[in-house]
Amino acid sequence: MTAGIINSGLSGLFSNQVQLETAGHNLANATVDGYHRQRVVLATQESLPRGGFFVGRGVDVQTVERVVDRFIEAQVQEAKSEEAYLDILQQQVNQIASLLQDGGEALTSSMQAFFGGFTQLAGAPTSQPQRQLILSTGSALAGAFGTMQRRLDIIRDSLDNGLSSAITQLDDAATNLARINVLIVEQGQTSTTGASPDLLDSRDRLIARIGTLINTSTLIRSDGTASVQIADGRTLVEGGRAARVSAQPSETSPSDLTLYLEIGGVTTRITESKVTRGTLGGLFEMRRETLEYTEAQMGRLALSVAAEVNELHKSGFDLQGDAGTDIFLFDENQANNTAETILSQSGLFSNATTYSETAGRRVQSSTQNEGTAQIRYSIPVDPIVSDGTQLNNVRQVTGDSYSIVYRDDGDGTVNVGDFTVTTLAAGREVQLSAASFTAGPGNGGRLDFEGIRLLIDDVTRLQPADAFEVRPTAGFAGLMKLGISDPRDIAAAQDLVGGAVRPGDGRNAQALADLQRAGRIGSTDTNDASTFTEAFSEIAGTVGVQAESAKLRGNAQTALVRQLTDQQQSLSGVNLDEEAASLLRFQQAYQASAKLIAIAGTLLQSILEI
Amino acid sequence: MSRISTNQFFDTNLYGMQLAGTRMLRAQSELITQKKLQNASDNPSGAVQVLRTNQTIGEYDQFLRTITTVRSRLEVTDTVLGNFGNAIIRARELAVQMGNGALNASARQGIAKEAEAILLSMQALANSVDPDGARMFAGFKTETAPVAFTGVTRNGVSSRDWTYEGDTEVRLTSITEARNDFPTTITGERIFFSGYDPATGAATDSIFATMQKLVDVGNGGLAAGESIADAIGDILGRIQTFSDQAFTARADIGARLVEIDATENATENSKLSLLKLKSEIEDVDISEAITRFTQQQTVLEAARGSYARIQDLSLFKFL
Repeated sequence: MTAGIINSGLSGLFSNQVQLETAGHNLANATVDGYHRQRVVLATQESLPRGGFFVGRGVDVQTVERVVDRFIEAQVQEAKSEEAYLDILQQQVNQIASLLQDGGEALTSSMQAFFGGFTQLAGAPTSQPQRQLILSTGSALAGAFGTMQRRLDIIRDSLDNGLSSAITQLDDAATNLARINVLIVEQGQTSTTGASPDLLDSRDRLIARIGTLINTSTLIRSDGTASVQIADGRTLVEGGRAARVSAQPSETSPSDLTLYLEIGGVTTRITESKVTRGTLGGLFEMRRETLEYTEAQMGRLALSVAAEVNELHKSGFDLQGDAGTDIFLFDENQANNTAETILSQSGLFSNATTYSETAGRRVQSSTQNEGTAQIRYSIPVDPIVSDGTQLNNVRQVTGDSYSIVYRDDGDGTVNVGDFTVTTLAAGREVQLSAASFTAGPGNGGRLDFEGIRLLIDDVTRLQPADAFEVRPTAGFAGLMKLGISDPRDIAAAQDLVGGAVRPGDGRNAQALADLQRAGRIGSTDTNDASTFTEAFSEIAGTVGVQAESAKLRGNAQTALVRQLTDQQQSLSGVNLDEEAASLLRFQQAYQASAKLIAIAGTLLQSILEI
Repeated sequence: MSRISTNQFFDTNLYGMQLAGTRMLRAQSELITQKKLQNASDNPSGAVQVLRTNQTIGEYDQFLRTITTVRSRLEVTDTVLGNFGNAIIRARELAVQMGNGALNASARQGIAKEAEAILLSMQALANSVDPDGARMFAGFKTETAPVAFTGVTRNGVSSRDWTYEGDTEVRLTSITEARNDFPTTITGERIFFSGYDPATGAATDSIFATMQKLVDVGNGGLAAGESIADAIGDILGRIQTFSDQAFTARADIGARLVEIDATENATENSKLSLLKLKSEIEDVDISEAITRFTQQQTVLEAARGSYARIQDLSLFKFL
């Protein structure tokens, strides 16, 4: 009899001790991020038959478990993944929106000063101070474009740093999760109730960490290990194995860092557009939708300003009676005024017969290409007429970036049917006509579309599925510079009379001044086209709307995260008062169990004393 | 009853304080900068509108600067033409005097001296330079004196042949988006000359040739068979023609000054309404912002107060 009482007492002592320890553990971890409160699961011990009835034997501690709702946990994790994406997107897009707002003031005012200078010059065409003013305001305008591009470069650098750091964090988290998976299996083998609650918390923390970096799909296996797939469905962690992730130059556009996954010695690129959440999703989207857009459109604006001003300037005459020359140049501009003239830049060739090595952000060959053909591009300033169709003109340049894929249509010759041109951002397929492709010179070939002339050095060295990317106007804003240095070279006059300009002829200067209000961008029809400053407002407006949208979505997401976290904490968070009450309750129960053992001792004593 | 964890207490309080703090800071920054548009993301369409408005205001400013320059140029032209008109009036008086049959040859010579002085002052006026140093009546040939002469002997006296050296080009400028052909100059050939042929550069007559004839007559240089009365009659008729031409030119300049004043007013008004629009979009409503600031301050104080009370509540205090 006393043995039964002692046994009940002991089981009570033990269970209450575990309860007290657990309450203490909860108190100690109350503020630890990702901690779920734990509770002791008790079961009544099977009673023993004694004669015709059963007598209870006390209590059993079955396990200590986490108070957790998997469904809410998954919701919180998903919401936080989206929040991390929107946070970084908002922060990054805002940088460019502010740049366009602040730098935009400088750009539009220097544009007005430049064109305004021509109005003044038209009134006093021979005035040296007015001519000098054109040079200084022109230089300021090129400088304003340049400053904007340099600030975009800085944003790109910091974005690359952000990508590298996020990818390193992802790699760390994946490795750690695989390690935790191994521990979970080991603990599962030594205990009857699976891995410890604290180890499961560690596992869930890592899953959440990965979720804030990239979109995931997570499966908890029956042994408690986590299996995580990311982005396009490839496995990041399975059991004790983690794929290595790294930031590497993209194979289609080698100057961009992107995410690579190595499984079993094979490294493959994760399709960026499939990365839709987490910090990486935000960074990729910002680079793709905002940074690339702004760089290309600012480049196109710089190109248009330069090309239009130059074209008009060249139609006039300077003080010496010479025809005007290019007011604006892009670095390494080739100034021969033929149909093949391009606004060229480093690594691009200046006419169809000269080829040089492909390099830089603007032309990229996929590293997967089997063929060895090289491409270049040019932006012909003068219209090119082929088969009676005007193919190229700076006004046709859209500011889009393109992917060009070669696919052999099997008709035995290389012609327009072998190429597919799509825009990188929207995936719009560019309509090509038979006249778009011209063979030659030699084995070369030219593809003309949307103001761009693409030159392939040797079409016989193309292989099916060879891919190229062209960002024709990207970064052009940073290359603009003044092409004239002598104030007398400004062509203010419209014509020559007797081989000389008349000093009062400021008609060309007036025409240049009026260019500021003329539609030149977005359409070849000057009535539909935007002025330079309108085009800039459109860029600033587009990025502003992106920033606003990210902000509004971010605010809504933060509210959702708060609400879900509230639900999650309501269930799994520690309440200090509750634990304090538990301490009292289990302390009393512990004392009662101890008393029971004391009573059993007294009873035994009583019998022994008989 | 839903369960609340201790973290929720603290988080909710912290969130409340942060929210009130952020909003207070926002109101404060609006008050300091006097702008309700702080970031492009606050109101992208508003930001674009402000940008465009700034651009248009910049264009209007450019037009207003042009208008100022053009006005001063036209006013100088008007003054010169006014002086020229006075010279013509005096020239007519001298011609009438010269026609007085009671005068002897030496008296006519005295008048001829004054007439020559007037003639040379007329040439100086026709060759005036504007504030930029350009010959204002020379068309595009702004560095060439438009009225020149060569010395000749005519009817036995020393005389001059007068020529127009300028061209017929009028300088145009933009004073509004639509008016891009506003003439800022007037050419000498249509004021001082008549029958000018741009192809040959020759004119059939000019005020200078007329005045030269007056001088020549005074000096005794009459054509064969011509009487003084005939000559003076011819001169007076020609003076009237050029007086009308000069008057018409001055009226033309006056009309341009009226147009430029009206344009300036209209542009100033458009600029004002744009400034008002811009202000409505971006400028802070001070009383509203101050109210918001005070309101958030109250919320923040309440949040802090309740936080202080709540963090003080714990069962452990009573154990």
